[in-house]
Amino acid sequence: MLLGLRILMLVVIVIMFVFFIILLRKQKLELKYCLIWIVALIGIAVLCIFPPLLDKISYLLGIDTPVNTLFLICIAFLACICISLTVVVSSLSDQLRKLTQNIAIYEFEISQQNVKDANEQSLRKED
Amino acid sequence: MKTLIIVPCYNESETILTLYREICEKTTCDVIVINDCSTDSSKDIMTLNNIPHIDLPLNLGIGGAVQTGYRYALQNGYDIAIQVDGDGQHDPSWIDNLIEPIIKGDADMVIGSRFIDNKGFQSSVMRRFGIRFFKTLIFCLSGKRITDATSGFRAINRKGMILFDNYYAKDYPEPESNMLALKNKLIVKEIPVTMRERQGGVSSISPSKSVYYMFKVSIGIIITSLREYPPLNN
Repeated sequence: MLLGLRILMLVVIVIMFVFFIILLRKQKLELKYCLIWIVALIGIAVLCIFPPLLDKISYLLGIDTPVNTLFLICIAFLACICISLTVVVSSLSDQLRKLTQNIAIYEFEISQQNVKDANEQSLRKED
Repeated sequence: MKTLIIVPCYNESETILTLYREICEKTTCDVIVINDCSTDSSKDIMTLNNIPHIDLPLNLGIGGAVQTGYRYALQNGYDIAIQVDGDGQHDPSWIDNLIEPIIKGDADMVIGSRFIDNKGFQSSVMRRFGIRFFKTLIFCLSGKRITDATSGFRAINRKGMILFDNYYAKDYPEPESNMLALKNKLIVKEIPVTMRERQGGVSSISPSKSVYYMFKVSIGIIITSLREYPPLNN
């Protein structure tokens, strides 16, 4: 793999890493959902720093140019991140549904209670 | 037996008042309308006419709305919950027939089916084809016959409510929930009913959505039959 590409990728990875740290410090991101990104960045950085590792994997997979292996691994990481996001969205939508339903039921019960109280009060006044 | 009629309502301003009056005339059950964030005047009509209604602050789809009704029924100690769609397709005069098997203890869930006596409004050819497809699919997966899997006109007892409070699909839930009931060994019965053509409003399944509908519901039925469920305790 060309030295230029390796350096470029490392620079991009470092910038992204710093970006994540800043967002985490500002509490714009939750660490739980960032971990997979951090693992992916570290994994790709390791492959950029030690090209023999990448050559070995390429040889095992039968890929001629190691840089293609790198892209394949990047895509695999992105797919993992997408799946984890889908899982998170699904659980959020489930939680939101429960919350919506319970709030609606409480609101209804409170309004019923208010009507009852008002009726009782008007009855008492008549007495 | 304490019975609650759950009416999911999304933009049914044309029919909701007539339906409510008809239900009150023909039955003695309590009624609750679940207003799924209607964008028309449904809510005002219900407030003006003192129709008891739960307003969902977000649009949850028919599944989420009906599930709200089941949870409300569970919390308030109802023995039977009946779903009646808000568009006026379901004739409330059938409600006594619908709950009879549950009162007798013969069934946990009773579905009102159009395709036993084949009377009344029979839906379009395409829809009947879809319904037959679901019947075959459910039969293959559970060994039980449900002639009208898409019917929203049904009654369940507390066992069913506990089940549906935990698991209920958000959109187009009926066929999946039938599979869920069968998978959890609930006794599902069908009784013949006649349905009317919708009295107003628009169907949630437009022609362009029907492909999505068939795909989603079929996968949903298969996944439902593959899941493991903890035993139901009353």
